[in-house]
Amino acid sequence: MSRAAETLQAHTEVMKVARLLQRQPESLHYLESLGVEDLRELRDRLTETVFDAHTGSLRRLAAASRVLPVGLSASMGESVFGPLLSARLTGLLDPGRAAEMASRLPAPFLADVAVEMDPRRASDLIARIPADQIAQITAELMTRGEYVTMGRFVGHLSDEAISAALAAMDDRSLLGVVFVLEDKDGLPDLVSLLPDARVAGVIQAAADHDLWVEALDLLDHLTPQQRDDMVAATLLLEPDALDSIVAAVIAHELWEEVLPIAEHDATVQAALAARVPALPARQRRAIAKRARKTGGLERLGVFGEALAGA
Amino acid sequence: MTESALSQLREQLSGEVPEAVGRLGEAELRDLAHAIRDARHREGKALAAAGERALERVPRLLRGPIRKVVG
Repeated sequence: MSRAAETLQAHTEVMKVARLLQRQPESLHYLESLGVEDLRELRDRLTETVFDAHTGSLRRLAAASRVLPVGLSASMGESVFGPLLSARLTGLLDPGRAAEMASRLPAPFLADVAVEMDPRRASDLIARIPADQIAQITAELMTRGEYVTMGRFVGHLSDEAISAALAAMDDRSLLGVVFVLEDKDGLPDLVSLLPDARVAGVIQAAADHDLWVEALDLLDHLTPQQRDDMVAATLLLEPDALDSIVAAVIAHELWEEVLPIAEHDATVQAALAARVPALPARQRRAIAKRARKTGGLERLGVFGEALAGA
Repeated sequence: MTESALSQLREQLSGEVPEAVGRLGEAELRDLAHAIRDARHREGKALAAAGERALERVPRLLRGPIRKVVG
């Protein structure tokens, strides 16, 4: 992971912690000094602490809800308990009954609940929500820019539900969601569910919103074939967009991540080669090592020649 | 002094503090411990209040069985 990606991921983790503790992320800025893995460990501990703090009362409420008609339980979830307490209850309800309750609730409220949930505690319930309802909730979360929430649910959805969610999401949001995924090993499978046209759309979104840290991070986690498709889409962009990639590489030190693109474009190679002498020797050696490992310096034209001296 | 802030956090987490977190400064550790405590208290109060309001919404006939379950 590039340093820029790591910084953004750490910021994302702090946002998740802040949400758990119902604090403004800025008030917990000191946590950003921790690494991403340490922040995840802290968040796991906090999740246990917060979700288990009132388990006894919540279990009794979940049991009591079984006495009531489903419609009344659902309506009380929305009007009495609200999103936060409903989220705490979701993992304690019978999954079939909870899915039936969800079917009677509006997407905006379910989106509110999703924001507060720990999907790991309600996997059985999430799997029972129909794909079209997942799409409605996704559309709602997307309008709120809730990439973190959407990302947390990905590993708990069926392929059908993921496809429906992806279809409900615009390309910019898609890029935002895949960037915050915790388990990126599943990215090739997720991308394989996308129609071909979406790949070009995602790249265009990166160009339009200057999201090259996110796009190059995605590129770094794909299969060789998927990477080739994405690079091909990148090379079709306007020259200005390629300039913005070079600028992002320099600003965020994405040298290793940009190699798959650089090997296909002489202009990008020349722009990057011009910056190589200014890089510290150690960094030049690291980039050269990665380039040799992923296809050889000679494929990088003048950029490769500049690195060869490293 | 840092030890006492660490103890507070340990108490809030009901166990050991992740190593890297333990290296934060005293003010930060204390703030984190307070944030956890406040979140739990806030949620506990909200839960109690919601439980009361929910009972008012339950049809009279079902209030007995519900009280039995909730205890």
